[in-house]
Amino acid sequence: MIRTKTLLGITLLATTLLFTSCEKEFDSPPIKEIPVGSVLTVADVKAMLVPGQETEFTTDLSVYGVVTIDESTGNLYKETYIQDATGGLYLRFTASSGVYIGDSVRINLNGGSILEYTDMLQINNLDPDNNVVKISTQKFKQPEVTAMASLIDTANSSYYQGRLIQLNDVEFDCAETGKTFADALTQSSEDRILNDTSGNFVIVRSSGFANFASTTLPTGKGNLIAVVSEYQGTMQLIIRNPAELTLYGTRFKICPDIYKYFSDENITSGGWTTQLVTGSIDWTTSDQGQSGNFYGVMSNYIPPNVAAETWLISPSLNFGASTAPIFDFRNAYNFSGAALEVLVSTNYDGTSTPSTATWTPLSVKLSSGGFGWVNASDLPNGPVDLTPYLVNNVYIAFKYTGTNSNGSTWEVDDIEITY
Amino acid sequence: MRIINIIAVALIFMTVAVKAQTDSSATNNGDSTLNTKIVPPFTTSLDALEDDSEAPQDVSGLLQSSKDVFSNIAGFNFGAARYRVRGYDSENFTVSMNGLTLNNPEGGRAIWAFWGGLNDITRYQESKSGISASSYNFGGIGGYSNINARATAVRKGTKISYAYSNRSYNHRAMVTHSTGMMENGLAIAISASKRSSGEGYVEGTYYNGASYFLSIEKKLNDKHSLGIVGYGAPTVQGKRSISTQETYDLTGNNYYNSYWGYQNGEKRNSRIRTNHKPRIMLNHYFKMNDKTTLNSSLYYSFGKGGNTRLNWYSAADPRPDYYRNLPSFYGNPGDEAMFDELTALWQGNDPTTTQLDFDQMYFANSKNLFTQTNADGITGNNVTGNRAKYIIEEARKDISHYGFNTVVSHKKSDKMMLTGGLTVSKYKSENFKVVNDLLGADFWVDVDQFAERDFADELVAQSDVNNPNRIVKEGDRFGYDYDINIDTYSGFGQVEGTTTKIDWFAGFSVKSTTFWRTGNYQNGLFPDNSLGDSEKQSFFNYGVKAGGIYKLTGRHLIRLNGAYLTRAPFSRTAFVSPRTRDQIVPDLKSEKIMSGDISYIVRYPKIKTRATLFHTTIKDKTWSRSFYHDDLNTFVNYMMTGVDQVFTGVEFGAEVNITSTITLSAAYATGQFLYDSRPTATIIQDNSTELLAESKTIYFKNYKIGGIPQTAGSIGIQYRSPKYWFTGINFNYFTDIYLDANPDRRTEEAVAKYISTDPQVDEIIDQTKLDDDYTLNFFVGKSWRIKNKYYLRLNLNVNNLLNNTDFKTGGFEQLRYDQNEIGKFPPKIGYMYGRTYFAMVSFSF
Repeated sequence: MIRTKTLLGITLLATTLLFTSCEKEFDSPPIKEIPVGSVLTVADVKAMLVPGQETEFTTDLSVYGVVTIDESTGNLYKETYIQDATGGLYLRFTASSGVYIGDSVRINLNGGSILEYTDMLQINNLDPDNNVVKISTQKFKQPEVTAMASLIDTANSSYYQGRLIQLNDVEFDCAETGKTFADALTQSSEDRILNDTSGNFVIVRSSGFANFASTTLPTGKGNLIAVVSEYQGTMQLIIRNPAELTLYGTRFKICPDIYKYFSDENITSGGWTTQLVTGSIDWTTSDQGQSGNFYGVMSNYIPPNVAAETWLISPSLNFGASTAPIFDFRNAYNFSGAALEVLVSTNYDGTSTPSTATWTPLSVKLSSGGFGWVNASDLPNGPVDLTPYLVNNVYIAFKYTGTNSNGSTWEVDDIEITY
Repeated sequence: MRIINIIAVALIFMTVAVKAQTDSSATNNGDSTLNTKIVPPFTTSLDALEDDSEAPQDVSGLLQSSKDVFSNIAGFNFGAARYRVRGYDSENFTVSMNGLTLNNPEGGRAIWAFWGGLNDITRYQESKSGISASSYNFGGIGGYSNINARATAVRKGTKISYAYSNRSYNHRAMVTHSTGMMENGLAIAISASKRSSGEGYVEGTYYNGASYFLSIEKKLNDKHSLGIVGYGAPTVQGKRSISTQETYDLTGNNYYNSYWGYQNGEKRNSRIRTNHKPRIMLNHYFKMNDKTTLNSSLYYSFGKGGNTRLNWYSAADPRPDYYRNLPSFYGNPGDEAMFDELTALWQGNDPTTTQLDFDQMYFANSKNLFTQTNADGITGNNVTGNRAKYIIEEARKDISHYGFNTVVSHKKSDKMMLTGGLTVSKYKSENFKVVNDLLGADFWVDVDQFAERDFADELVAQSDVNNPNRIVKEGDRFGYDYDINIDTYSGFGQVEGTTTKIDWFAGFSVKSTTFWRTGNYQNGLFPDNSLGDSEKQSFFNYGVKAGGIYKLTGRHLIRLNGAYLTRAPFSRTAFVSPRTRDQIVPDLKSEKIMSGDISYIVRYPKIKTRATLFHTTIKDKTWSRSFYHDDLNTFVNYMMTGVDQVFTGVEFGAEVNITSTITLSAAYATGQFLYDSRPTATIIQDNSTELLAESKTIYFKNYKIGGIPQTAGSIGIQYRSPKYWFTGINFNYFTDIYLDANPDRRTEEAVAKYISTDPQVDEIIDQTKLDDDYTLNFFVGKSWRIKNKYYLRLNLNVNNLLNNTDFKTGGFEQLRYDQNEIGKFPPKIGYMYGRTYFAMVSFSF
């Protein structure tokens, strides 16, 4: 009996010890409010910029807007754009912004700063938690349909900076054919040229971190939605999602099968070769006098003039299945010397010295000097006739010749071959 | 002089105790700390065992009940320095209860926290270190320990104790009662305890644990007894971080803990470990005749284990010690202002900088309005609310484990004993995450934010494509959900013999292991190999062991043991990334373990010594981790196969009774615990299974196994008074402590940028050796016998008496590293606690 009592007593004691260990429930802390302070429009904020310096906001100033682009594709990082009736505003954050397209937000600028960086007005150093209040979601801003000519006019830059726009009837430049939006491998940003039907172009810049960086550019003509940015006096477009690029229509410019625009500043890219028959001066690229527009150039003037025979030869061209191949390029020259020869061969091997093959001159329009540019197909010559060469393994060459006493500077660009 | 001081301390201690009459007759009840051992039955290493982390554990403390002179001293003094017996991981040490193995099948380790706080029961254990005969199972090369949980094994009577400590917990109350065998053939033992703390030794940590134990034994007749045992230990623990030296230097605190922060003025720990995995056993004890016994058991173990941590979506990393939040991130020219500002904030111990800021997380969550379109996979179902930027999630591992075990022992003659056994074990763990706390937000969306950014296809980011855009709330499972199933069938046999000159044993084991993964989510990244059962991985393993003691005389013995066994790879390392898919580590194979030792043992009444030389190789281990690889610029799964390890060393222990009251003891262990091969690494991109590297050679041979002292020594003196009190002090010295090396830094690619004379080469490949250090431990105790019935005992144990707070006990190189700047991700280092004490009063009758 005593034993039973002891056992009971101990059991009781044991049970009292055995209250379950439960986790403490924490109080929710009182949530602070972000003050409103004075209310500004985007235009008011932009007007506060002091050119050439960064100005910090030290009082509560609120600007209301709708988010027009977000970080979800990775094309932006710690940044976003908002827009109200007066314009768009570029916001940079100390961390991921956490806002999404269609969020109606109030930004308290206190603690942030305003500056212009590479000509782009921005609000810097915002804290996504302490400076942002979301008021509602799914308030989508419609893009403003814009003419490219107006967009790229820097006189309008303050109007367009940060604005969500739509361009109609545009297509990527032929030089961009087959390229991706950016370089996903090295995660570096890339610029792509977008043309309109009137000969205007604008850059579409995408981040190598974007989840569409490795997506190939669409090749047709159509519409595009993007947010406008500016970099050192040049307008740039930032797309939100490749799905908003409906570039599937028929192009207004048919892209050549083989082209060489020299914009990559590489003389031999795309399978082109050079042959130095005499002398050691090679073809090179330059944009002298025409900033940004590169071309191929050859001159035997070091100084002085040295004897030179230097060839620039195309990759192998297969005209076997073609009926009317088209070949065109632009050229210009200055200074006295032998004319540039444009030759064609059907028995060249692609690597040997050119004299191992038979070369026939092509009749093309050449520059009349003074670095005046002409098209090879300009009248009176008209389109270059390649119909005698409807076989595979054709090569076209530019042969430069100079002597010890004289020599011209020849420039070629926009070589296009369609078959 | 010292003795007088010690006596004074003891006297002060006694004044707080009840004035009780001291009885002069010695107690001898098999339990007293007085008569069997000088040292009290608690150790620093047991404190370390309260931690149920899956990291390797020190098991030396388990050896307290072994009679071995070296293990005793090592068990009480080396644990705090993360010493591991012979350098072995605890998977080489078998722990059982009533013969049932308690080691977890997934990782091979026995997690002591599952039965923590049941010290009154777990003391009834039989332990041996190294290769030895065991009447319960084949055992590991590190040794074995069997807890006897039979009700009749617990000493009859009642014991109530209370302990006060400043280690992981502050208070421990424990009550145990055993009826002994009663007239009706029943024996009942119960034990319960409660451990709790306000704040533990490290800021922001705490401990709350209860434990219960019930054992009933019924003697049916002279041949048959039945028993039932049930126990469990629910615990909740706020954890501590291990951090870089920079954070310790900045805060001036070697126990800096980045896991906690203030919420509403109260400290909150983001990393809470909860555990409750009870076990029930039914035992049948069958004494067939005087020579043969057959003990059989059925068992079932179940319960939950969880670890919480912060998660965040579309927000900055809130962890204060994330490398971008530390001043060193701003070490480049031009960043001086930021560097100075952050340094000042850190040095000022500004809690919004040095700790988490829960108030800010609530604030951020309170205003993050978001519309999830097509929520829960229902087109047009738009849910608007505050989407959580920060949550606390809990990674759960809930288990269900049952099995059967039987062991037969037959005494063939007085000189020979035969033992054999069979075990069947069916184990399943459910692995998943649940939302623990939304921190004030309305919901979390179950998508993989990294996949969301990397892939334009929205389906890819779904944790479960059958349930896309799922809105989850507190208590909901999310992220991943898979089961690990492990079936094993094993058997062993053993023969032990004894002659006047030689005691010997030999044994063998066979084991069949099958494991597989069952995915419960169809992961968007791996829709084809995430759902359902994986291919079953089966392994057949065996082991042989033998040993003997040659008695030169009764007092001088030579002992020789050897073992060779193979071991199935653990399921924990067998899967490339079990959270997302069922892909198996390439070239998965069984480990091969070879081990031998030779000892010289001297046993005089006044002098006991043991000296041992051991050599062990473990070949073909598998190693797998996931981490962010800076050079490859992506999160990777990193696997090594063919990892060989070698453990060679000596152990020496001695105990000398100088007088009848004074004992000197010494222990010394030194070894070379090394990697012994050039393993092959495979690197796979975590989110695409893209093979990033294959057959990559890791130049790992002769690198030290890190995080443990490879050499440890101890000398101590104990005084045991005929007046029933005792005291002692130990000086312990530790050396050859290395940081665990990052394999990827020991590759051709890691040094490819440099030529041999560049200083960066050494920076990348050299292994860091930590400083030698020492501790001083002190203990004192006293017992009284009152009215011939009651016993009152007082114990005080002080570890690290000199409060040495600069003792780096280990650490590891971060797996993330930057070839160009190796210091960008410096190693993480842990410090041993400073002075800690454990005082206990117990009353038994």
